[in-house]
Amino acid sequence: MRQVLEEYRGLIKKRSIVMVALAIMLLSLTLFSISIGSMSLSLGKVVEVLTFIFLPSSRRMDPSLVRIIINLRLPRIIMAIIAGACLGIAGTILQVILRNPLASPYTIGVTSSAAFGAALAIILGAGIIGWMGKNIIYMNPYVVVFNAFTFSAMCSIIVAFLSLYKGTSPSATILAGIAMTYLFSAATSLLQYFGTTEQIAALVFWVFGDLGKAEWLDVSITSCIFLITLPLIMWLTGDYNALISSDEVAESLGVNVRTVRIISLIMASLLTATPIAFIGTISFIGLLAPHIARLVIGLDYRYLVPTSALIGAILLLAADTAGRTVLSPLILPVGILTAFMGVPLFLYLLLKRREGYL
Amino acid sequence: MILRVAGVCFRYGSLPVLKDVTFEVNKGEVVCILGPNGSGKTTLLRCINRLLRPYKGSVLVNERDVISLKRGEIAKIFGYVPQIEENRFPLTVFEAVMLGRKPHMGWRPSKRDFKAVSDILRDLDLEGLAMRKVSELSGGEWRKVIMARALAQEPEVLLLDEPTNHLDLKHQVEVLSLVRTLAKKKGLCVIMAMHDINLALRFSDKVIVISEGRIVFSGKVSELSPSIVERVYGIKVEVLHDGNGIPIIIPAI
Ligand SMILES: Nc1ncnc2c1ncn2[C@@H]1O[C@H](COP(=O)(O)OP(=O)(O)OP(=O)(O)O)[C@@H](O)[C@H]1O
Ligand SMILES: [Mg+2]
Repeated sequence: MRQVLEEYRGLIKKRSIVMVALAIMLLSLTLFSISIGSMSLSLGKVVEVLTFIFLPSSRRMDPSLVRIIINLRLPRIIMAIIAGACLGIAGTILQVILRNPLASPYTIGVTSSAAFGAALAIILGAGIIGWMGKNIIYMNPYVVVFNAFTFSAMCSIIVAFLSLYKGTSPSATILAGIAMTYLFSAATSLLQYFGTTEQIAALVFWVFGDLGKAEWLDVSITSCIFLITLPLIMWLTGDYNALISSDEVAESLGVNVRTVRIISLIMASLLTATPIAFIGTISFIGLLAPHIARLVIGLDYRYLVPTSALIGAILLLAADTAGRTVLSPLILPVGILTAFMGVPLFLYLLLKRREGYL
Repeated sequence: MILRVAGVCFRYGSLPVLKDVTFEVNKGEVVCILGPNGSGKTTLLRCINRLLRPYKGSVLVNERDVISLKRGEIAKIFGYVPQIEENRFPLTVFEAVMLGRKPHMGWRPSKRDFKAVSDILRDLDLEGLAMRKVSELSGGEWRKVIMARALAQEPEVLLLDEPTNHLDLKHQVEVLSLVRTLAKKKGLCVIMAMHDINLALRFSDKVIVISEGRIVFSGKVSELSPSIVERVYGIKVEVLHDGNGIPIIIPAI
């Protein structure tokens, strides 16, 4: 008996070590990412500037350097971290509540409805908060953001209701999500058909997730959503563990399966819709992060949720850092990078693993 | 602890499955449910812990209707071993058994939860497998883990749907002996659906035979007559007696 407990403690210790290692990795990647760009800095300089920003002292600092870091690099990098974490967690909880290792924010239609909302604003000029006119040069980005967010929220509410109607069975939810994806894609194509070349170009530009769009306000709102949903999701992790096997087993262990599914569906939509509304669609992070996290930490959701947040953040930041360096000074949108990096990584994981879903 | 099933009727859509099922189980009693395939044994067990809702009749635990209880409360009363649990996942055996502590546990397992789990792993002789992944177990080992999970719930009523499925001769006897000992020692009610009549009779106090959703016999093990078995299963049987008053029923070929 002693021995079993010792072994279990060993397992927990190993997991903590993995999580700390990931956190260190994220931190070093962050510092590295701050250091590169049109004006490249040494790591020592980065630390110096950061201490100057966060712990103001009497030391003098080159103001243009401080401005570059505060206004250009930090919002982009922090947005990469927060958005990656949001998408990683969203994918993880969707995969367990839908009991499907291929589920991701795409599966429930959140991304295509966001694109539709953006298209509505960019092509028809119709915004939920105000009309913005046909001239895209004077476009207020927040009209697009609000539209994208509202339509993804609407889509997930529809999916939640359709699934509730069928007793929240995983397959019903996935089918509802796929139906919504097709509906919104078709509607977006219809809008594109009537759009001018510039409008379509602007829409395509929006659809490639691009972290360069991120402003401090966007970063703060996304962080708020992340910080509000995280405790609730962590509180549900015990229920997720019980849900791994089947609804029947979860219920017999005292889980209110319907409630957990609906709450999680809403949390996952919020965690996806918010970053996507600000930076555009980003593929693969929500699918890939949970798979890698399960590989390194195991299946206990109390550890899996924070780990997939860390891995989502690392993946997105790595992709964006790569996008800023490979063709520098040209910056590639991160959405394209994640797809290119994601596909081979995902195929590798699929082929390498014999078992192990959820 | 008295469990009372009173006039339970259940149907799947328009297909009636349980028809006016009534019986009682007292503290410390082991009851086996016999009946041919499709007679409604699984459905009955699932009505008892409210995985299914009967359209008529009720299930009472100490005179409280389970309909009035919350899911979490029900999970503290009923431990459930399903007939099949197909989905195998790479959780370790220790963690899978810890799932059974869910109804009692806060966010993280307490000392008591750890103790309960390690005691059960010892009782079921699963200690050697504790760190193995559930997806890498044999059918019988997995079955024992499911049993361990139900016991970890520290339930007052154990609902076992063919608990000896996939188990070898030794483990069948071991698992059922453990269940019986727990019933006597801790005053659990045990209701188990079984197909192996003789094994079931050896370890039970009472027998319920159902056929097409109706109880056709309910009484002491020694009172089960071969004519009922012949009628329900539709084959000829012979009865031997082992001297303890427990009949041994074998098909006459
Ligand atoms: N989900 C379901 N939907 C519709 N009918 C069902 C469902 N589950 C079971 N049934 C039907 O209900 C009847 C009773 O099924 P049940 O599973 O309770 O039988 P059982 O006695 O456990 O049989 P077995 O010994 O084969 O396990 C059967 O006729 C079966 O076809
Ligand atoms: Mg059955």
